[in-house]
Amino acid sequence: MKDIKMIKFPRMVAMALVVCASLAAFPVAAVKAAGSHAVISVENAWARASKVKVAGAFMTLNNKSTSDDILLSASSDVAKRVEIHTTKTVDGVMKMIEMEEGVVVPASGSLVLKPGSYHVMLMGLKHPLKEGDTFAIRLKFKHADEVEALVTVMAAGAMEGMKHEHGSHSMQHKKHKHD
Amino acid sequence: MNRFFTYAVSVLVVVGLVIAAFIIANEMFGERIQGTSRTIVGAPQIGGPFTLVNEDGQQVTEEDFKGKLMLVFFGYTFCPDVCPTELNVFSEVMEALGEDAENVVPVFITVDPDRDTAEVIKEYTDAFHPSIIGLTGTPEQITHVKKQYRAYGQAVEKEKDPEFYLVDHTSFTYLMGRDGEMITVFSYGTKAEEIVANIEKLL
Repeated sequence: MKDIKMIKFPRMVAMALVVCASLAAFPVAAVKAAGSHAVISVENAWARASKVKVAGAFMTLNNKSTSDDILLSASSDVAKRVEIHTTKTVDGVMKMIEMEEGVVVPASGSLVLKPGSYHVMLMGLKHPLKEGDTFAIRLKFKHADEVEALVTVMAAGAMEGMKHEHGSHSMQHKKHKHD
Repeated sequence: MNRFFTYAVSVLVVVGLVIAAFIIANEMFGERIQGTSRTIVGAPQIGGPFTLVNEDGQQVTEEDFKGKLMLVFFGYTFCPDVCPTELNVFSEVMEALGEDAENVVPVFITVDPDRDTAEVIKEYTDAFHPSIIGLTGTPEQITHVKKQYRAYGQAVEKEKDPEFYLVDHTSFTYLMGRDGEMITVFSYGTKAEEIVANIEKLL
Protein backbone atom coordinates (compact mmCIF):
# COMPACT_ATOMS: atom_id res chain seq x y z
CA MET A 1 0.00 0.00 0.00
CA LYS A 2 2.67 2.46 1.01
CA ASP A 3 4.70 1.68 -2.09
CA ILE A 4 1.81 2.39 -4.36
CA LYS A 5 1.10 5.70 -2.70
CA MET A 6 4.73 6.65 -3.04
CA ILE A 7 4.65 6.03 -6.75
CA LYS A 8 1.27 7.64 -7.32
CA PHE A 9 2.08 10.89 -5.64
CA PRO A 10 5.01 12.01 -7.83
CA ARG A 11 3.06 10.94 -10.87
CA MET A 12 0.21 13.21 -9.93
CA VAL A 13 2.59 16.06 -9.35
CA ALA A 14 4.26 15.44 -12.69
CA MET A 15 0.93 15.35 -14.45
CA ALA A 16 -0.19 18.54 -12.78
CA LEU A 17 3.05 20.20 -13.78
CA VAL A 18 2.61 19.09 -17.39
CA VAL A 19 -0.94 20.40 -17.43
CA CYS A 20 0.15 23.70 -15.91
CA ALA A 21 3.01 24.06 -18.35
CA SER A 22 0.84 23.36 -21.36
CA LEU A 23 -1.87 25.63 -20.01
CA ALA A 24 0.63 28.44 -19.84
CA ALA A 25 2.02 27.75 -23.30
CA PHE A 26 -1.15 26.94 -25.24
CA PRO A 27 -4.16 27.78 -23.14
CA VAL A 28 -6.78 26.71 -25.67
CA ALA A 29 -5.01 23.62 -26.94
CA ALA A 30 -4.43 22.34 -23.42
CA VAL A 31 -8.06 22.61 -22.44
CA LYS A 32 -9.04 20.81 -25.59
CA ALA A 33 -6.45 18.08 -25.25
CA ALA A 34 -7.51 17.38 -21.67
CA GLY A 35 -10.64 15.60 -22.86
CA SER A 36 -9.06 13.35 -25.47
CA HIS A 37 -5.76 12.67 -27.14
CA ALA A 38 -7.07 13.27 -30.62
CA VAL A 39 -5.85 16.58 -31.98
CA ILE A 40 -6.71 18.03 -35.34
CA SER A 41 -5.17 21.23 -36.61
CA VAL A 42 -6.35 23.41 -39.43
CA GLU A 43 -4.09 24.86 -42.03
CA ASN A 44 -4.54 27.22 -44.93
CA ALA A 45 -8.24 27.87 -44.47
CA TRP A 46 -9.68 30.11 -47.17
CA ALA A 47 -12.97 30.99 -48.81
CA ARG A 48 -14.00 32.60 -52.04
CA ALA A 49 -15.28 36.16 -51.96
CA SER A 50 -19.02 36.23 -52.53
CA LYS A 51 -21.65 38.88 -53.01
CA VAL A 52 -24.40 36.31 -53.29
CA LYS A 53 -25.90 34.10 -50.60
CA VAL A 54 -23.41 31.26 -50.69
CA ALA A 55 -19.69 30.66 -50.63
CA GLY A 56 -17.36 27.70 -50.42
CA ALA A 57 -14.57 27.39 -47.88
CA PHE A 58 -11.54 25.15 -48.22
CA MET A 59 -8.75 24.03 -45.89
CA THR A 60 -6.39 21.27 -44.87
CA LEU A 61 -7.12 19.30 -41.70
CA ASN A 62 -4.13 17.54 -40.13
CA ASN A 63 -4.85 14.61 -37.87
CA LYS A 64 -1.92 14.14 -35.53
CA SER A 65 -3.34 11.14 -33.73
CA THR A 66 -2.76 7.53 -34.73
CA SER A 67 -6.42 6.78 -35.31
CA ASP A 68 -8.81 7.95 -38.01
CA ASP A 69 -11.23 10.71 -37.13
CA ILE A 70 -14.35 12.00 -38.85
CA LEU A 71 -15.20 15.59 -39.67
CA LEU A 72 -18.86 15.60 -38.70
CA SER A 73 -20.12 19.14 -39.16
CA ALA A 74 -19.23 22.80 -39.35
CA SER A 75 -20.83 26.04 -38.24
CA SER A 76 -20.11 29.73 -38.58
CA ASP A 77 -21.61 33.03 -37.57
CA VAL A 78 -21.37 34.33 -41.14
CA ALA A 79 -23.96 31.91 -42.54
CA LYS A 80 -27.40 30.65 -41.65
CA ARG A 81 -26.48 27.10 -42.47
CA VAL A 82 -23.15 25.34 -42.98
CA GLU A 83 -22.73 21.92 -44.56
CA ILE A 84 -19.87 19.69 -45.66
CA HIS A 85 -20.21 18.92 -49.36
CA THR A 86 -18.38 17.21 -52.12
CA THR A 87 -18.60 17.71 -55.87
CA LYS A 88 -19.09 14.76 -58.20
CA THR A 89 -19.32 14.58 -61.97
CA VAL A 90 -21.66 11.97 -63.38
CA ASP A 91 -21.84 11.86 -67.20
CA GLY A 92 -20.77 15.49 -67.46
CA VAL A 93 -23.34 16.59 -64.89
CA MET A 94 -22.04 18.25 -61.76
CA LYS A 95 -23.67 17.25 -58.52
CA MET A 96 -23.02 18.52 -55.06
CA ILE A 97 -23.56 15.98 -52.38
CA GLU A 98 -23.90 16.67 -48.68
CA MET A 99 -21.62 14.42 -46.63
CA GLU A 100 -24.21 13.59 -44.02
CA GLU A 101 -22.08 10.85 -42.48
CA GLY A 102 -19.05 13.14 -42.34
CA VAL A 103 -15.64 12.79 -43.97
CA VAL A 104 -12.71 10.74 -42.68
CA VAL A 105 -9.58 12.57 -41.56
CA PRO A 106 -6.99 9.77 -41.81
CA ALA A 107 -4.72 8.89 -38.90
CA SER A 108 -1.37 10.73 -39.03
CA GLY A 109 -2.56 12.26 -42.28
CA SER A 110 -4.68 15.03 -43.67
CA LEU A 111 -7.99 15.72 -45.31
CA VAL A 112 -7.76 18.40 -47.98
CA LEU A 113 -10.87 20.41 -48.76
CA LYS A 114 -10.33 22.01 -52.17
CA PRO A 115 -12.22 23.17 -55.28
CA GLY A 116 -13.77 20.29 -57.20
CA SER A 117 -13.76 18.08 -54.13
CA TYR A 118 -14.75 18.44 -50.48
CA HIS A 119 -15.71 21.91 -49.32
CA VAL A 120 -17.49 23.67 -46.51
CA MET A 121 -20.64 25.15 -48.00
CA LEU A 122 -21.73 28.39 -46.36
CA MET A 123 -25.42 28.91 -47.12
CA GLY A 124 -27.37 32.07 -46.45
CA LEU A 125 -24.46 34.45 -45.91
CA LYS A 126 -25.44 37.20 -43.51
CA HIS A 127 -23.16 39.66 -45.29
CA PRO A 128 -20.99 39.52 -48.42
CA LEU A 129 -17.52 38.00 -48.03
CA LYS A 130 -14.92 40.52 -49.18
CA GLU A 131 -11.43 39.66 -50.29
CA GLY A 132 -9.05 40.07 -47.35
CA ASP A 133 -11.74 39.55 -44.69
CA THR A 134 -11.32 36.83 -42.09
CA PHE A 135 -13.97 34.88 -40.23
CA ALA A 136 -14.24 31.75 -38.11
CA ILE A 137 -15.64 28.31 -38.92
CA ARG A 138 -16.08 25.83 -36.08
CA LEU A 139 -15.46 22.21 -36.97
CA LYS A 140 -16.83 19.24 -35.07
CA PHE A 141 -15.13 15.85 -35.12
CA LYS A 142 -16.12 12.43 -33.90
CA HIS A 143 -13.10 12.09 -31.61
CA ALA A 144 -11.08 15.29 -31.57
CA ASP A 145 -12.46 18.34 -29.84
CA GLU A 146 -14.05 21.17 -31.72
CA VAL A 147 -11.57 23.29 -33.65
CA GLU A 148 -11.99 26.86 -34.79
CA ALA A 149 -10.56 27.65 -38.20
CA LEU A 150 -9.67 31.22 -39.09
CA VAL A 151 -10.67 31.59 -42.72
CA THR A 152 -9.16 34.19 -45.06
CA VAL A 153 -11.33 35.42 -47.93
CA MET A 154 -9.59 35.22 -51.31
CA ALA A 155 -10.76 36.49 -54.74
CA ALA A 156 -14.07 35.16 -56.08
CA GLY A 157 -12.34 32.92 -58.60
CA ALA A 158 -9.40 31.89 -56.42
CA MET A 159 -8.25 28.30 -56.77
CA GLU A 160 -6.15 28.19 -53.64
CA GLY A 161 -5.48 30.04 -50.44
CA MET A 162 -2.37 31.90 -49.36
CA LYS A 163 0.43 29.84 -50.82
CA HIS A 164 3.79 30.81 -49.31
CA GLU A 165 5.16 29.43 -46.03
CA HIS A 166 2.02 27.66 -44.94
CA GLY A 167 1.96 25.20 -47.80
CA SER A 168 5.61 24.18 -47.69
CA HIS A 169 5.54 24.10 -43.93
CA SER A 170 2.87 21.47 -43.83
CA MET A 171 4.72 19.31 -46.32
CA GLN A 172 7.80 19.36 -44.10
CA HIS A 173 5.75 18.52 -41.08
CA LYS A 174 4.26 15.55 -42.79
CA LYS A 175 7.63 14.25 -43.92
CA HIS A 176 9.02 14.46 -40.42
CA LYS A 177 6.08 12.50 -39.13
CA HIS A 178 6.55 9.69 -41.59
CA ASP A 179 10.26 9.51 -40.94
CA MET B 1 -41.31 -38.20 -97.30
CA ASN B 2 -37.65 -38.07 -96.36
CA ARG B 3 -36.78 -36.44 -99.65
CA PHE B 4 -39.54 -33.89 -99.31
CA PHE B 5 -38.30 -33.02 -95.82
CA THR B 6 -34.72 -32.46 -97.05
CA TYR B 7 -36.05 -30.29 -99.88
CA ALA B 8 -38.21 -28.23 -97.54
CA VAL B 9 -35.34 -27.65 -95.13
CA SER B 10 -33.02 -26.60 -97.99
CA VAL B 11 -35.58 -24.13 -99.27
CA LEU B 12 -36.08 -22.70 -95.81
CA VAL B 13 -32.33 -22.36 -95.28
CA VAL B 14 -31.88 -20.57 -98.61
CA VAL B 15 -34.81 -18.24 -97.92
CA GLY B 16 -33.42 -17.59 -94.47
CA LEU B 17 -29.98 -16.80 -95.82
CA VAL B 18 -31.40 -14.40 -98.40
CA ILE B 19 -33.44 -12.60 -95.75
CA ALA B 20 -30.42 -12.44 -93.43
CA ALA B 21 -28.26 -11.05 -96.26
CA PHE B 22 -30.90 -8.38 -96.96
CA ILE B 23 -31.11 -7.43 -93.31
CA ILE B 24 -27.32 -7.20 -92.94
CA ALA B 25 -26.93 -5.18 -96.15
CA ASN B 26 -29.75 -2.89 -95.14
CA GLU B 27 -28.34 -2.39 -91.69
CA MET B 28 -24.90 -1.53 -93.02
CA PHE B 29 -26.26 0.75 -95.67
CA GLY B 30 -28.78 2.32 -93.32
CA GLU B 31 -26.21 2.83 -90.59
CA ARG B 32 -23.91 4.66 -92.95
CA ILE B 33 -26.68 6.99 -94.07
CA GLN B 34 -27.75 7.59 -90.50
CA GLY B 35 -24.15 8.21 -89.46
CA THR B 36 -23.64 10.75 -92.19
CA SER B 37 -26.85 12.56 -91.48
CA ARG B 38 -26.02 12.61 -87.79
CA THR B 39 -22.78 14.47 -88.35
CA ILE B 40 -24.28 16.88 -90.84
CA VAL B 41 -27.40 17.67 -88.89
CA GLY B 42 -25.88 17.03 -85.46
CA ALA B 43 -23.38 19.86 -85.13
CA PRO B 44 -25.70 22.81 -85.76
CA GLN B 45 -28.23 21.23 -83.45
CA ILE B 46 -26.39 22.64 -80.45
CA GLY B 47 -27.17 26.32 -80.06
CA GLY B 48 -29.77 28.23 -82.02
CA PRO B 49 -32.38 30.86 -81.26
CA PHE B 50 -33.10 31.88 -77.68
CA THR B 51 -34.72 34.74 -75.81
CA LEU B 52 -33.33 35.53 -72.38
CA VAL B 53 -32.93 38.42 -69.96
CA ASN B 54 -29.49 39.95 -69.51
CA GLU B 55 -28.01 41.12 -66.23
CA ASP B 56 -29.42 44.62 -66.77
CA GLY B 57 -32.92 43.21 -67.02
CA GLN B 58 -33.15 43.65 -70.80
CA GLN B 59 -34.42 41.04 -73.21
CA VAL B 60 -31.74 39.58 -75.48
CA THR B 61 -31.70 36.98 -78.25
CA GLU B 62 -28.97 35.06 -80.09
CA GLU B 63 -28.98 37.94 -82.63
CA ASP B 64 -27.42 40.23 -80.03
CA PHE B 65 -24.34 38.01 -79.93
CA LYS B 66 -23.88 37.61 -83.71
CA GLY B 67 -20.49 38.65 -85.02
CA LYS B 68 -18.73 37.64 -81.83
CA LEU B 69 -17.48 34.36 -80.49
CA MET B 70 -19.35 33.16 -77.44
CA LEU B 71 -18.19 31.05 -74.52
CA VAL B 72 -21.28 29.56 -72.90
CA PHE B 73 -21.50 27.92 -69.50
CA PHE B 74 -24.63 26.80 -67.66
CA GLY B 75 -24.62 27.12 -63.87
CA TYR B 76 -26.22 28.92 -60.96
CA THR B 77 -25.10 31.47 -58.42
CA PHE B 78 -25.78 29.21 -55.41
CA CYS B 79 -23.00 27.00 -56.70
CA PRO B 80 -19.90 27.62 -54.56
CA ASP B 81 -17.45 25.22 -56.15
CA VAL B 82 -17.78 24.32 -59.82
CA CYS B 83 -19.22 27.58 -61.14
CA PRO B 84 -16.62 29.89 -59.54
CA THR B 85 -13.92 27.55 -60.83
CA GLU B 86 -15.23 27.72 -64.39
CA LEU B 87 -15.84 31.47 -64.26
CA ASN B 88 -12.29 31.84 -63.04
CA VAL B 89 -11.20 30.02 -66.21
CA PHE B 90 -13.36 32.45 -68.24
CA SER B 91 -11.62 35.32 -66.52
CA GLU B 92 -8.19 33.84 -67.28
CA VAL B 93 -9.20 33.35 -70.91
CA MET B 94 -10.30 36.98 -71.26
CA GLU B 95 -7.11 38.25 -69.64
CA ALA B 96 -4.91 36.01 -71.81
CA LEU B 97 -6.64 37.16 -75.00
CA GLY B 98 -5.62 40.77 -74.36
CA GLU B 99 -6.95 42.97 -77.15
CA ASP B 100 -8.52 39.98 -78.90
CA ALA B 101 -10.90 39.69 -75.96
CA GLU B 102 -13.20 42.21 -77.65
CA ASN B 103 -14.14 39.48 -80.14
CA VAL B 104 -15.35 37.14 -77.41
CA VAL B 105 -18.38 37.30 -75.12
CA PRO B 106 -18.28 34.95 -72.12
CA VAL B 107 -21.84 34.03 -71.14
CA PHE B 108 -23.10 32.43 -67.94
CA ILE B 109 -26.65 31.11 -68.32
CA THR B 110 -28.44 30.22 -65.11
CA VAL B 111 -30.24 26.91 -64.70
CA ASP B 112 -31.88 28.36 -61.59
CA PRO B 113 -33.97 31.34 -62.78
CA ASP B 114 -36.07 31.38 -59.60
CA ARG B 115 -33.19 32.51 -57.41
CA ASP B 116 -30.95 34.05 -60.07
CA THR B 117 -32.60 37.34 -60.89
CA ALA B 118 -30.83 39.76 -63.24
CA GLU B 119 -29.50 41.65 -60.24
CA VAL B 120 -28.14 38.57 -58.48
CA ILE B 121 -26.49 37.19 -61.59
CA LYS B 122 -24.86 40.54 -62.36
CA GLU B 123 -23.26 40.73 -58.90
CA TYR B 124 -22.12 37.16 -59.28
CA THR B 125 -20.55 37.31 -62.74
CA ASP B 126 -18.96 40.72 -62.22
CA ALA B 127 -17.03 39.31 -59.27
CA PHE B 128 -15.07 37.16 -61.72
CA HIS B 129 -14.61 39.41 -64.75
CA PRO B 130 -16.51 42.51 -65.89
CA SER B 131 -16.84 41.06 -69.41
CA ILE B 132 -18.84 38.01 -68.29
CA ILE B 133 -22.53 38.39 -69.10
CA GLY B 134 -25.04 36.64 -66.90
CA LEU B 135 -28.29 35.57 -68.53
CA THR B 136 -31.51 34.58 -66.84
CA GLY B 137 -35.13 34.42 -67.96
CA THR B 138 -38.50 32.88 -67.26
CA PRO B 139 -38.46 29.17 -66.40
CA GLU B 140 -39.81 28.53 -69.91
CA GLN B 141 -37.05 30.57 -71.56
CA ILE B 142 -34.42 28.71 -69.53
CA THR B 143 -35.95 25.33 -70.37
CA HIS B 144 -35.84 26.32 -74.05
CA VAL B 145 -32.20 27.43 -74.06
CA LYS B 146 -31.18 24.31 -72.14
CA LYS B 147 -32.83 22.24 -74.86
CA GLN B 148 -31.04 24.24 -77.56
CA TYR B 149 -27.69 23.49 -75.97
CA ARG B 150 -28.57 19.97 -74.85
CA ALA B 151 -27.73 21.19 -71.37
CA TYR B 152 -29.11 19.74 -68.18
CA GLY B 153 -30.09 21.53 -65.02
CA GLN B 154 -32.30 19.98 -62.41
CA ALA B 155 -33.04 21.30 -58.93
CA VAL B 156 -32.65 18.71 -56.19
CA GLU B 157 -35.40 18.42 -53.57
CA LYS B 158 -36.50 22.01 -54.09
CA GLU B 159 -39.75 21.50 -52.17
CA LYS B 160 -37.90 20.10 -49.18
CA ASP B 161 -35.41 22.96 -49.09
CA PRO B 162 -36.86 25.98 -50.91
CA GLU B 163 -34.15 28.37 -49.76
CA PHE B 164 -30.96 26.38 -50.15
CA TYR B 165 -31.74 23.63 -52.68
CA LEU B 166 -28.92 22.52 -54.96
CA VAL B 167 -29.07 22.19 -58.73
CA ASP B 168 -27.37 19.44 -60.72
CA HIS B 169 -26.13 20.87 -63.98
CA THR B 170 -24.07 20.21 -67.10
CA SER B 171 -20.49 21.28 -66.73
CA PHE B 172 -19.52 21.82 -70.37
CA THR B 173 -18.32 25.06 -71.88
CA TYR B 174 -19.46 25.67 -75.45
CA LEU B 175 -17.46 27.74 -77.91
CA MET B 176 -19.90 29.26 -80.40
CA GLY B 177 -18.93 30.88 -83.70
CA ARG B 178 -19.81 34.31 -85.07
CA ASP B 179 -23.05 33.02 -86.60
CA GLY B 180 -24.06 31.18 -83.46
CA GLU B 181 -22.85 27.82 -84.76
CA MET B 182 -21.18 25.49 -82.32
CA ILE B 183 -17.43 25.17 -82.83
CA THR B 184 -16.42 22.93 -79.98
CA VAL B 185 -17.26 21.83 -76.46
CA PHE B 186 -14.79 21.86 -73.57
CA SER B 187 -15.25 19.54 -70.65
CA TYR B 188 -14.99 20.84 -67.11
CA GLY B 189 -11.38 21.20 -66.05
CA THR B 190 -10.09 22.32 -69.47
CA LYS B 191 -7.27 24.78 -68.89
CA ALA B 192 -7.62 28.40 -69.99
CA GLU B 193 -4.65 28.03 -72.39
CA GLU B 194 -6.45 25.34 -74.37
CA ILE B 195 -9.58 27.47 -74.71
CA VAL B 196 -7.47 30.48 -75.71
CA ALA B 197 -5.67 28.39 -78.37
CA ASN B 198 -9.03 27.32 -79.83
CA ILE B 199 -10.29 30.89 -79.86
CA GLU B 200 -7.14 32.25 -81.48
CA LYS B 201 -7.56 29.82 -84.39
CA LEU B 202 -10.80 31.63 -85.20
CA LEU B 203 -9.51 35.19 -85.01
